[in-house]
Amino acid sequence: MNSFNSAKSALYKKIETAGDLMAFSFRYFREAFKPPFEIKEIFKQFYILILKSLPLVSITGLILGLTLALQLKPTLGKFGAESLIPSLLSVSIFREIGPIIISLICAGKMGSAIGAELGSMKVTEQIAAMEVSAVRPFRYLVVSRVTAAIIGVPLLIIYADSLSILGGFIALKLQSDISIPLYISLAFDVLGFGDIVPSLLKTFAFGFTIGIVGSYKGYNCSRGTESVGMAANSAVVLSSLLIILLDMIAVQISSLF
Amino acid sequence: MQKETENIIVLKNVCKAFASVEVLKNINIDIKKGETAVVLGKSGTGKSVILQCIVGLLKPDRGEVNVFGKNIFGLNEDEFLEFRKKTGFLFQSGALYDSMSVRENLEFPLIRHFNLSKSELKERVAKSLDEVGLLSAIDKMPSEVSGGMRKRIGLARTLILAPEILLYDEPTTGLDPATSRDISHLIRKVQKERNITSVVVTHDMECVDITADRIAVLKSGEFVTVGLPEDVKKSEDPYIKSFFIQTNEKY
Ligand SMILES: Nc1ncnc2c1ncn2[C@@H]1O[C@H](COP(=O)(O)OP(=O)(O)OP(=O)(O)O)[C@@H](O)[C@H]1O
Ligand SMILES: [Mg+2]
Repeated sequence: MNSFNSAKSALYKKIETAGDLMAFSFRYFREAFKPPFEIKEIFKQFYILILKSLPLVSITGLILGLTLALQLKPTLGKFGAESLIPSLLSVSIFREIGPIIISLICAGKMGSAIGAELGSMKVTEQIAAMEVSAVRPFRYLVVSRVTAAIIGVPLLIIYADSLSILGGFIALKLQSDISIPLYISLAFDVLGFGDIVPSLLKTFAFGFTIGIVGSYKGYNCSRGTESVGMAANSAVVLSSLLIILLDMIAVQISSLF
Repeated sequence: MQKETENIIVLKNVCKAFASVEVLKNINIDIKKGETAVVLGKSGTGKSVILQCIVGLLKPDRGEVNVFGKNIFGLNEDEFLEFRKKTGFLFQSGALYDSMSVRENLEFPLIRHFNLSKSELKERVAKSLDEVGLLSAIDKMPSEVSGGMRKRIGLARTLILAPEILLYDEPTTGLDPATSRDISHLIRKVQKERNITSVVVTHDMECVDITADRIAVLKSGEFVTVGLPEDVKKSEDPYIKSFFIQTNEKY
């Protein structure tokens, strides 16, 4: 009976968190379009977020394309369909693998950074200090970071997708003699509107998720320094989970068209 | 012209509990314009909570917080921001913005509230830091300065906005006696010059002697005494007495 009750209260807590997170998201949209804007801070956060994730995203992007091409080669080679590799690669990278893998990496990198930074600001009363000096910390801290993530994550994904295509080329070049123009035309000719636009749209949603969950966890961090680590950690867990769920929904929706 | 006796901060039956622990049970006090009220109380009795209720960082479970004649929890967003602009708060920890240099810490609220030229900005930041004796730390990062310095920089950052109300949470704790005295005199000076209404939470008896117009003693969630310093000091209550003998016993 006791364990039932504790499970029940844990469930209530989850539902409460979901509600709070929704309210927090609405607050972002309410505040993001009201002046005074913290433009300088948005650029600063954008720069920081991109810079922090760039090395890992670059390596992942390149290796992703490389390994994928190498994996595809033996199977497709058996059917004499090696010429399909570039198009298969580009479709799978642009539609699915690029967005999801890079978003999960960004969730790890950015989500934990935002959660930890805002969490420690909360614990050391820096957020309260901003509030007391009538500065609107939500706008300065949260709107700037979320906006930076909304713009930054899609850009990183496009960048990583391109590197993956390059990685695929390197893999093929090592084993056969394919020219760049041929590779590019094979890779990009198959890409249609339906491969690019829906997946681009969902990357904005992923960016938003990373920014808002990290900010939410940090901003609502409880007292005590150990909660800063918890905020960072749970930001990564929750945003990764939400990204995967959103991806599933996005795939369902885009398959309707 | 405002009346001398105008009450600026009024707390009425303020109660606040955290997870079923009643920290504040029934807090009542009127603080007049230009007056400095000192709050004494053992560690953990809720002194910081009182200050946070006055500035609206915490909402009491029951009771009213009236500042400048209005219930602060009845204000709309713009009025609330106006109220916050007129109120300064020195956090117990200093609460410096770690990602900004000392100069940026002071500029941060200033550039958002006033339309100052670059030179005016520079001048005000320098003057404010000079008041707390830390002009030399202007280009340091918060991580590079000591705990006592952080607190003084926090004080400079609070004073720079020239608020009408100042709430100090242990302004001299962690400072050496000479610096403590300087800070206490600064608090007094600012109050006299600008006719500021203030609440000081402190354990430092010298600070009490320098700054207090009135003393309120907090015990188990209520003010057991609110009165003039000379009257409170004469009290026979052992709890109240314990604050005043502590200075002699320390050495
Ligand atoms: N935001 C909060 N959430 C939960 N509990 C709190 C919160 N703020 C204060 N408390 C609790 O309220 C009580 C009073 O805290 P407060 O910080 O006001 O003490 P204090 O009188 O300022 O003590 P000190 O002299 O040590 O600073 C403590 O038991 C503290 O744990
Ligand atoms: Mg305290």
